[in-house]
Amino acid sequence: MTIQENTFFRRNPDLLFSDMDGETVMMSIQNGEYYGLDEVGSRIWQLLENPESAETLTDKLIEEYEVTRETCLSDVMEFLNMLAEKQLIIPA
Amino acid sequence: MYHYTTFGLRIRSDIELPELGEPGREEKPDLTITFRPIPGELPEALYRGKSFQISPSQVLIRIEQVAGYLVRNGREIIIDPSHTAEMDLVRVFLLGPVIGIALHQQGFLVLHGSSVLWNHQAIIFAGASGSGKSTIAGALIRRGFPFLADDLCPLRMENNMPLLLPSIPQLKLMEDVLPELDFSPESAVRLSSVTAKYGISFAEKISAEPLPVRMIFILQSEPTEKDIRMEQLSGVEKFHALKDNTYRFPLLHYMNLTTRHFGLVTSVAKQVTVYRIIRNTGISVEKTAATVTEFLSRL
Repeated sequence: MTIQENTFFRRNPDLLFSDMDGETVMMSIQNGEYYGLDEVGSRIWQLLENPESAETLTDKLIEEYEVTRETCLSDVMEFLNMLAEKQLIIPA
Repeated sequence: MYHYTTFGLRIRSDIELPELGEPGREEKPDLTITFRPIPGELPEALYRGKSFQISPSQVLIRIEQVAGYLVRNGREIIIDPSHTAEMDLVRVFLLGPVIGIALHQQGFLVLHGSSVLWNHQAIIFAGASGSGKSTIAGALIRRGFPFLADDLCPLRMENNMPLLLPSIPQLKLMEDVLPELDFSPESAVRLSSVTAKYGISFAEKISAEPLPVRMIFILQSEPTEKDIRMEQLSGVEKFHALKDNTYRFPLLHYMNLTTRHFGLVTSVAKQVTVYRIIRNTGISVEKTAATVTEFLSRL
């Protein structure tokens, strides 16, 4: 699955997740798999409380982290692709 | 009928279970242990292995030449012993994996570890089978730490605090570590004629009440580690340490307990400090116990 910069995603509701010292642990209710997100990934997960696209996420993240828009967008795209592949997020 | 209270559960048993201490007075039981024939198969099983057949409400455990055990909803254990069964061995499995399954069904977070008392709290040593959790507990007991639990450490949350339930007052040790720990041969009883494991009973239960858990140590042997070191875990790693050291974790999936387990592990993880004790396999139990004691004295 290849995502677009302006595709909106939301969290898959069939997931349990919890904050652990700024990182996130998750469990899929569907397949019983466990996932972990690092600090930056966890920040994006927090923002995904409401539907977001790679573009809208990048707009927010460049205000919080010292990163160029271009780098940020490409990293976010990669991250969202990974989340979507594992069905942790679904199109909103 | 024999009545006991262990793990905070009132247990009524058809047979005497001396490992649980002196029988108490008759009470309405939370868990019954009875003897009668059980089916050979669980038709609704989601998992069928050599010893375990598992469904969300029932688990059938078959130990060849010992017994079949049917564990239902954490409320009932039915034992069907084989003709040649040695009763000592029937009890060894009953008070190990079988009651472990019942505790899972009861909804506790059952950690695979041993525990001693320190500073009014339970400290737990968890780790894979053979990682030395009972041995380190034994060494600390020799240094004056009171015994709390061995092999099964069932926890429940109360007012946002993880509590260790009062457990079976018996420490199980391999024969070869007894001399090193200097337990007198008379205090250790061989669990059955076919095992090299010995049980050391503690007549006085140290606490009849659940005790708060604030610290958990994960024992890990590491051939590349030269000596012994401690490492505090956080975040995702801390979560996995507790998940992976849950008693027979892979079975929970078939018992339909992973959702509940996730909630328990995350809430316990937020309230405890978890350390990994990484040591070379050649490090003696005495040195490990000394390291832990010294670490605790600095807190």
